[in-house]
Amino acid sequence: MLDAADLVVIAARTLSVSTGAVLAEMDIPAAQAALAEALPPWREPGAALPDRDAAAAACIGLVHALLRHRPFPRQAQQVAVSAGLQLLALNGWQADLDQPATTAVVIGALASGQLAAGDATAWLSQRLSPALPAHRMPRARGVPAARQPGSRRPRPLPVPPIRALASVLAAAAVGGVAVLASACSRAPDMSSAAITRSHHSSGTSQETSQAEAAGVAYAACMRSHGVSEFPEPSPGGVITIAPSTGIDVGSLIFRSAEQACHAITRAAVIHIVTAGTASHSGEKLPA
Amino acid sequence: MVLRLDPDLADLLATVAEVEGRSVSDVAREAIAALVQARRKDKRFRRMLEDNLARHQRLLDLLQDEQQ
Repeated sequence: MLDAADLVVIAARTLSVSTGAVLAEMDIPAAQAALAEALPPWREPGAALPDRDAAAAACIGLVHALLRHRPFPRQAQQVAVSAGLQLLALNGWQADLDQPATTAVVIGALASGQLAAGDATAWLSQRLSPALPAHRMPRARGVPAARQPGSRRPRPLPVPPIRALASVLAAAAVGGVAVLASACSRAPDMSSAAITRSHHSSGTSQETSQAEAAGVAYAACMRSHGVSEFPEPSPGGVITIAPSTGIDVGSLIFRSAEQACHAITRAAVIHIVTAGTASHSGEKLPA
Repeated sequence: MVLRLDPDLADLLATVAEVEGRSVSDVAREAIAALVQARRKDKRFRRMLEDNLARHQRLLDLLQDEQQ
């Protein structure tokens, strides 16, 4: 399965823009939601796609999820298709789409809901073939020898913390900035802090004041969109939501508010949700 | 930007930042950028991407037209 870093690279190349530009435009929560949705609960990340049906289902699942969640709103179909094709290639398959106009219609119908994912999968399955020998082996990052389809992913070797951190971060999301939810270590009463928000500065007083201002604006925005208990930022510009607040960060209201206030987070704020209150209900946000 | 992290990872991030005397934002930003950069250098990944874009350029053009 692809991760958010893959999506950034694929989108940048597909749209002929820089990865920085993609990061600036990418709707991170939408990308997270799409990638999570594209990986069925029964399928292990990195598992091989041993036959056409499995490969088609994985591809369409990813394309459909990207079309639904639209992490790249203005070029959703191009990026979704490119990502789906890349997923196939990485798993040793290629799509023989010799009628681009027909394929475009299929993608459009899938995007609009006129075509069910199952029907699109059946359509695609008939058009898949094994890729060239050099492409046959499924991808296994950090593993020198490629695996045969159907084989189990080798247990990863220990990696330095920063690399492990990078991998997990990218699996969670990708952006030009970063974060903290370390109220855990700095505020004992928040040992299971759930949400912390910071800004992407290096800590100068001017940047801190900007973060504070952005935090105040973000909190006001969230409250105005129905999350009435959303707290104000601390003097350092960090917002922490502990489980005791009772805020359900997986609720439809919270996620809708996040979406509505997304422009503020893009501008200056980082918002971290940890497992303590992130219920991830899987609800679909309204279009 | 929104990130969703579990408490353990958040703690790890804070620890790395503290040890290195940097802001957690800087550490996380660097980690993310490094991963994207590493992916960009993955020759196999890039070759497949280039192959796909070349093979399906007409389709991608059509999709672009439809979205405009």
